Amino acid sequence: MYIHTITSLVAANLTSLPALAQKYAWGERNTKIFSRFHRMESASLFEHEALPDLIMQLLRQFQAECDPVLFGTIGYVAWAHSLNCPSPFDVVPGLANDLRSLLGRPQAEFFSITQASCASALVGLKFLDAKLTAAHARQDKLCGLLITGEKCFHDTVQYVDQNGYFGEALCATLLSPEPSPGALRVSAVHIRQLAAYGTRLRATDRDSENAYDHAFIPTMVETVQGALQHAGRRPEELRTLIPYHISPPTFDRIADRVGFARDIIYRRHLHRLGHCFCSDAFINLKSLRAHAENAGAVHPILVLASGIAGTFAAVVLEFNSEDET
Amino acid sequence: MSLQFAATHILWRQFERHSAAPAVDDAQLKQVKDFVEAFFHAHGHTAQAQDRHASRWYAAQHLTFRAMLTQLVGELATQIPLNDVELVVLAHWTPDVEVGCSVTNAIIHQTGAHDAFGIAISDHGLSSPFLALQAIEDYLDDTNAGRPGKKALLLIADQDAIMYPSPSLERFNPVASACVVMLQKRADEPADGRATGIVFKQYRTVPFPATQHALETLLNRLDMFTSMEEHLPLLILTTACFAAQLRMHAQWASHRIESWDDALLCSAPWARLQQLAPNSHRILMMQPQDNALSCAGLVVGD
Repeated sequence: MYIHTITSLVAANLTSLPALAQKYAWGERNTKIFSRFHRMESASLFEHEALPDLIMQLLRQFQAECDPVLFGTIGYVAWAHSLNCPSPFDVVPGLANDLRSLLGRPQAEFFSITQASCASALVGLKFLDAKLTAAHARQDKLCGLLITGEKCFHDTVQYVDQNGYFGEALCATLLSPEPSPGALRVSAVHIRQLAAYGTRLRATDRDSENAYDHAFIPTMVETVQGALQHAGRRPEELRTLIPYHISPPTFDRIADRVGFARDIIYRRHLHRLGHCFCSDAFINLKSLRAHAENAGAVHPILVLASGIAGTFAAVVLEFNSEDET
Repeated sequence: MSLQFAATHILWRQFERHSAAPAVDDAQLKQVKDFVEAFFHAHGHTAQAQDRHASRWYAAQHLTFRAMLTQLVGELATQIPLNDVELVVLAHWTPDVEVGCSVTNAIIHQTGAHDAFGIAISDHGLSSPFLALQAIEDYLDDTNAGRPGKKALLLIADQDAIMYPSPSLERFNPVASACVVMLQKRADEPADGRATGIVFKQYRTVPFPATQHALETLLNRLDMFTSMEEHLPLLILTTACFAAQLRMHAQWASHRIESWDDALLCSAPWARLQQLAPNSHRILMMQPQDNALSCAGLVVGD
C-alpha cells in the first residue's frame, strides 16, 4: 500500500505554553516539567471552530491538493480516533453524508476505527491495507481515505500529568495499493498489545501503573524490531523517526535501545503542536515530505504511535526507488 | 478462501438492568452534564444535558461492552479454544457507557490470544457487523494466505443508554445486548461445492429499493450467490418493517422471510440466525438504513 496525498489542518496561531497553563490550570509542577524537561512551547488549538466544520474544511483542502483521478476512486473513508466516540451519536450520520457529497461518491463506505487510542490511525493503516488489497483482488480499483483529528473539549482530553498535553490538528491521507511518483510505500506495519492494560483508564493501581511503565520501552522496542524485520531493514538503515508529540525523551531512549542515531528523530513539531491524538504521524510525514530536499536522504522512515490502553504501533515507510534520485 | 462459522458459535444475550441501581448524587450528575455540554459545544451544537439521561447512563455502568462481552466470550471459551484467535473485531452502533476502555484489548487479555490484532468498527450504523465480517475476511486473506483454519472473533455490543437525548436511538426502544461469533477461515472449496457450516459470501450496500422495479431487480443486482447456490432455498432475515414490505411483493413472498427483533440493534440479525440455525439454505441478511440497504450473504450446508 502507498501513502499519496496528505493534507493537514493546523491552527494558524499556536497557543503558547503560558496560555495553556492558564487555560487548563494544570499547576506549577506540570508547567515546570512541560517547559524545562520536555521543552514544550505551544499547542495547536481551534478555539472557536466546531469539529464537523474542521473536518469539512480539511476535506475541501484535500480535494484541492489531491490527484482528481485518485480522488474519484475513494471507496473507503475511515476516521481513526483516540476517543471511542468523539462525536454525539446523532451528529455522525450528517457528517458522513456531507463527506460523501463532497467526494461525489454516495456509495463510499464511511466508518470509524477505534479501540487502539492514539495508535488507532496506524492500526487503521494495517486494516485498510488488507481492505484495499482485497478490493483490488476483486477488480475494484479503490482508494482509501484516512481521516484523523479530535477536539480537546474536556479536561479528560487536555493534558496528562507530567507527560504532555493534547493538541487539535486534522489530517486526511490518501491510501492506494498502486504507486505514484512521490508516494510513500508502507513496507511494514507491526502492532503489539499489552492487552492486560486495556482497562487501565477505568481501574488501575500504583503497582499496575509501575508495571506498565516498566513494560513500555521494552514493548515499543519489540514493536519496532518487528516492523524492521518485516520491512527487511536494519536499525542503522533508518534515516527518520517520526515521533508522537508526548514525552519527547521517550524517543531518545527508543533510539538508544533499538540502535539508531538520536539525530534522526524528526523534532520539527515535537514541542510545538501538542499531542494531536492520531494525527501526529501524518502531520510530520507531510512536513517531512514538504521540507526534504532529497527524498532518498530521509527514508526509510519509522513512524511510532502508542495507545494509552496498551496498543503499540510501528510503521516503516519508504519512497519508491524511482523517486530516490 | 472464505469465512465459515457454526450457529453454535454465535452466542448472544439481552442484558437486564439491575433493578436497584445505586443512587447518583448531584456532583456525579454535574460531572456528566458538564462533559455533555462541552462535547456538544465542540460540535457546534447547543448543550442537551439532562438529569434523566445522566442518571440513566450511570445506572447502566454494569452493562458496559466489556462486562457483556466478557460473559459471552467466557461461555464461548468453554466450547472452543480461543487462545489462538488472530483477529478480534468489535462492531457497534451505540457508544459504550465505559469511556476510555479498549474492549478489544480486554478481550484479547481474557482469551490469552496475545498475538491477536484488535480493532473496532463503528459509525457505520446498524450494519457495522456486516462491514466487520467483510473486514475479517479481507484481513485473514491478506495475512494468512494458504493457511486455513485461522480464527477471528467478531464482537457485537450496543447500549440502551447514552448521556444525552438521541431521537435516532430512542425510536428502537433498545435493550442492552451483545453477541460474539467465532469465525474460521475455510479451507479450499469442498469437491462437491456444498458448504459445511455457515459460509460468508460477501457484504454489499446498495441504494434502498424505493420502487417496484428496484425491488424486483434487487436480487440480481446483489449477485451474492453462485449458480449452484441459487438452487438452495433462500432465507431472508431483515427488520419487521422491511419484511412486511417484501411479503407484499410476489417475487419475494415465495421465499422464506423472517424478521428480527429491532431492539437488539446490531446483535439482532445474529440472534435471529442463531435461533433459526437453518440447514441447506442461502441466506440474505438485509439491514435498511437511511437511503441504503446493507446486505450480507451466507450459505449454509447440511
